[in-house]
Amino acid sequence: MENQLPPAHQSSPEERVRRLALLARIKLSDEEVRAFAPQLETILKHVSEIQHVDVGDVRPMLSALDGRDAESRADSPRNADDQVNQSQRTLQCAPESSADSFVVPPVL
Amino acid sequence: MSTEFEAVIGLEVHVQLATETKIFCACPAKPTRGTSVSEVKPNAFLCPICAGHPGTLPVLNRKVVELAAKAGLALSCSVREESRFDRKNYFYADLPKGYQITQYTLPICEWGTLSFETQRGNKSVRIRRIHLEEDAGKSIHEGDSTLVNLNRAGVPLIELVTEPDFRHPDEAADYLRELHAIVTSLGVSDGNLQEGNFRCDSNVSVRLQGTEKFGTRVEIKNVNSFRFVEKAIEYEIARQVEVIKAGGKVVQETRTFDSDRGVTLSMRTKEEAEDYRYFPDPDLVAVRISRDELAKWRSEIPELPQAKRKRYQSDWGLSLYDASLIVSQPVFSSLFEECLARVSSKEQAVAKSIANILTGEVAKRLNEDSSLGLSQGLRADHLVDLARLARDQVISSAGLKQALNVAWKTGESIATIVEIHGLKQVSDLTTLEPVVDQVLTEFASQFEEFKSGKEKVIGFLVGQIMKRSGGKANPVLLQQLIRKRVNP
Amino acid sequence: MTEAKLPHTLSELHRDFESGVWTPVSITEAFLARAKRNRLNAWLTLCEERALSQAKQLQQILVARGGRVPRDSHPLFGAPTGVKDNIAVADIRMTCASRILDNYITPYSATVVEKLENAGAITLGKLNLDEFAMGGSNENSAFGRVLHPTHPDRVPGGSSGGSAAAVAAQECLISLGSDTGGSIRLPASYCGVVGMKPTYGRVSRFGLVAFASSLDQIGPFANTVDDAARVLQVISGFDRFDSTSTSNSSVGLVPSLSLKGLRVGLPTDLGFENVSLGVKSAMTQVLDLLKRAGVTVVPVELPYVRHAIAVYYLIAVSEASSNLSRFDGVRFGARVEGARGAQSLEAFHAENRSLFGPEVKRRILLGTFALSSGYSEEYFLRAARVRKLISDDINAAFSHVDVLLSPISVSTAFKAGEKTQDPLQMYLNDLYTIPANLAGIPAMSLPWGRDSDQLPVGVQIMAPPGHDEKLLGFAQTLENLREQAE
Repeated sequence: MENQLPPAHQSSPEERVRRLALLARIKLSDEEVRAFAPQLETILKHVSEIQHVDVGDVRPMLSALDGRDAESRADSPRNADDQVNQSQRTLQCAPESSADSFVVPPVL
Repeated sequence: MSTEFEAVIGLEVHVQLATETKIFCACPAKPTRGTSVSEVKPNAFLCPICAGHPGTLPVLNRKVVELAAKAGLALSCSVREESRFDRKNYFYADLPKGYQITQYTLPICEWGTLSFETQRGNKSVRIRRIHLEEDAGKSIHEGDSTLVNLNRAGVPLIELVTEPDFRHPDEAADYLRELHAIVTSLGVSDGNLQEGNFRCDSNVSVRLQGTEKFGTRVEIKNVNSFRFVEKAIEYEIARQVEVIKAGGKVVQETRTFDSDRGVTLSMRTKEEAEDYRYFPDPDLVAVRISRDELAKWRSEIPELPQAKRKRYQSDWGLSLYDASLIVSQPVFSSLFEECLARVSSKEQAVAKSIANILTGEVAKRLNEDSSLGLSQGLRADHLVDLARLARDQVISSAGLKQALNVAWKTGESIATIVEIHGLKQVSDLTTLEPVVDQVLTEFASQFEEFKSGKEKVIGFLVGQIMKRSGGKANPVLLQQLIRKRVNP
Repeated sequence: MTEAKLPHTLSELHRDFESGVWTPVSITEAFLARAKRNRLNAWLTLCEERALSQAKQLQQILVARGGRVPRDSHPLFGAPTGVKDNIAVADIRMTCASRILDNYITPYSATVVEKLENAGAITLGKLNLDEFAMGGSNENSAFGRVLHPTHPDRVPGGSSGGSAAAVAAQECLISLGSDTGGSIRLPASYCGVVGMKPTYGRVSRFGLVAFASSLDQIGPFANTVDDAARVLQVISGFDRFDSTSTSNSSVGLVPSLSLKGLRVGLPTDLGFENVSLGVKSAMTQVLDLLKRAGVTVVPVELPYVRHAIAVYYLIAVSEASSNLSRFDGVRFGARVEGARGAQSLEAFHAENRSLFGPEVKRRILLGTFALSSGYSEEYFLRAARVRKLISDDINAAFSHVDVLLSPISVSTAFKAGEKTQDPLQMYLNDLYTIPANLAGIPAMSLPWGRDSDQLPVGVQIMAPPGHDEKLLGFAQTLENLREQAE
């Protein structure tokens, strides 16, 4: 992973792919970078056509439910047994755990 | 700090809201009563939702909206009728979903103020915004791994961001104390600093006096004591001034505070500036607050600390110190209010005396014995009765301490306790005068020493009289009687 | 011994139970046997023991009721059911057709699965799909493509390819799929079964692995409109675990719709001049029948719909790029061997996330771009604005028509490998189905015969938001017309 990439608008398609892969935390092989770069360019070119649409002052539609209230819930916990059950079943899914904790390589 | 430079400081405080459950799932947000956070097993407060399992969805805890709105109202913010949740996307070991749900574009409250006292007088700071967000978990480094505990992941927080209105480190500490008093007295937060319920990030920059342009700012993260915040900012200002004076440039970065050494330290700078790719969270729709709800919450806001302190001082003659201490602890202030309800407005001395008992003996016992709770046994009627008895000199200060401790343990009435333990002190002059004369005659040489200026001897003389009177003589009165005999 | 004829619908199934032709256990065994052969590679996981245990319980209930099926309390009594493998069934492996979840056993069940099973459905297993629901042909699965039920060299459509193929091939009676840009309707039409995407918010998404949260919906596959309706009635309704589920009641009874005077809209921008012969012929037939039954056909203009693909491929990939960030090998899922020795957390994450397939990686990169600083205004937010324009167009159309009719796709099932060279080609295939997701309206693929290659054709019916019942009523009437015409 590279340290200093040129700003986005100055990058080549392959540099762009590498930068995005870094942001998205996906390791790509050189072959993949070479394959994805032109594909992404083609797709981006196609979707960029919306930049020519006159949107006026239309507000973004972020959901088919715009205008509805959030359903919310009361501040009540589960009963103790349920909670133990939930936490155990969830922790059990860990690929690696130790002393009831999830384990990853050292962060720093 | 050199007078040619001026410090510009802004604060971001993360406050954990006082809810039973997390913000988006029904896991507990805090340990059961009597357990401390460190006693809870890692990942006990976990479920597929807060662990970010595939297919899970967040559902908002109604209570957090109420608490955040109340904080905003108390700080004179405008509370938005409609606010929204956004996703802040980044990767970290203790961030289960790979994004944090927060409020970026439309926070729940904006543009309020907090006024507070500093050594330079009253200061007002602008609160730019208050927004809701979920906390992340904790990572602990151990050997060749990092252990991740998600108990805290999903705990509800509000973040209060000020404008860069502070100019001195002590102001920052004063602000934090006042903010802490407000959120705890409102019931918005438990405010437990040790458990990380109240954390402060400071943004510090310096500039030459008289310039308008801001200097490069440095962020000091996650300091959770008011004193340390002040020290950290102090150090940082000095550090920045030195850098500039040496011809260098302050680097924009994030630092931590090493409280042992009293210095700020650079955190390893990340390889790439983070791009958080904020966008509205599509799993949550708008947070709406009706006018009725807002009015109801506004009416539920109790008297705020500043007003309370002023009232204790002006109506009851308390010192600023005592008033501040009582107000800063919700348990003290509610007990004190109960006491005030039982005394007449003419009994200022009684109120002051109760305040002294609270901030003195009671505070001391609480510090000594962490298992002691204020609610166990000790009541308002105890304090009022004790204060009145002390005012009337019916009991001595030693007697008061004893009665207090017994009352705390047993809950019995003060009258009963004083009777049973024979705590009434004798103040009757006809009884006391002869004993005083007797002792001063018997210990004539010590009395001479006292007459010649040795203050300490009075303690011995009083002690002797106490012995002769079965320990019930009023020691304050005894001192007066002895001194009268020095200069008849 | 010749096996009795497998029932084709829920009604037939229940009659067979009552006449003793089948029992819950025997029907389960029969379908499981077919599923096990896995001729089409539709199944990723079978839950034999679990299914048989459910069947036994139902059998007891049947006996206790003197052989009468309790249709009121268990409308899906004994129905052998498949569930797309991006919908959680507790304690059963859920892969989303991805290597990154190869070994994942989900600790909870989706709300829809609980509802299905409470209604008496028997979950046979998990069905193959395009990885993380990203694709239109079920060729993107890490566990092999799904074969078309009658033409093995062709695709069943995607992303719910397994769900459609399994029903078409009688490997289950009903199934659940998910639809984000057409992923139920397209495979339904290619495989010749009924597939429906409900109004956004009417079916809980809790337990559906999110692809694009503001577009995803779970929906049924079945052989008849009636069965699809029954499944929808069971799985729909407000769910307190999904903030985006509406407080509408569950989908109710299907009204009988009179066609006389009904106004059917034909979007000119979703026309059928340039489609394959088979599709054109089906659409023409449908319109003929409808007109003769007294329907008024109205051309409708949806001028912004031509931007639907661009809008979709910005919004969907943006939401997806964020939704898929949770797959990092820390709390669940697979890890790359040796990743544990990574020098940093970044490297560890990146290593594990390389387990995504190429289409998923592409979309995550695209979405990351569309949301990134300096671009999100012009790409993501602008797409959301155009989405509003498209949605407004569609809602405006419904003010003067009752339902909309269109093709599902430009052609019938294409050959495997035909569109995999160019991702954009695959995306363009979604033209007809995407608008319904953008607007959040209910939409269905109704099978309408076969083309000259004997490949199934489907026609798309769309209704206003919240009018799922009206859509089902219309579809049922049309289905009856079709049967009469045959």
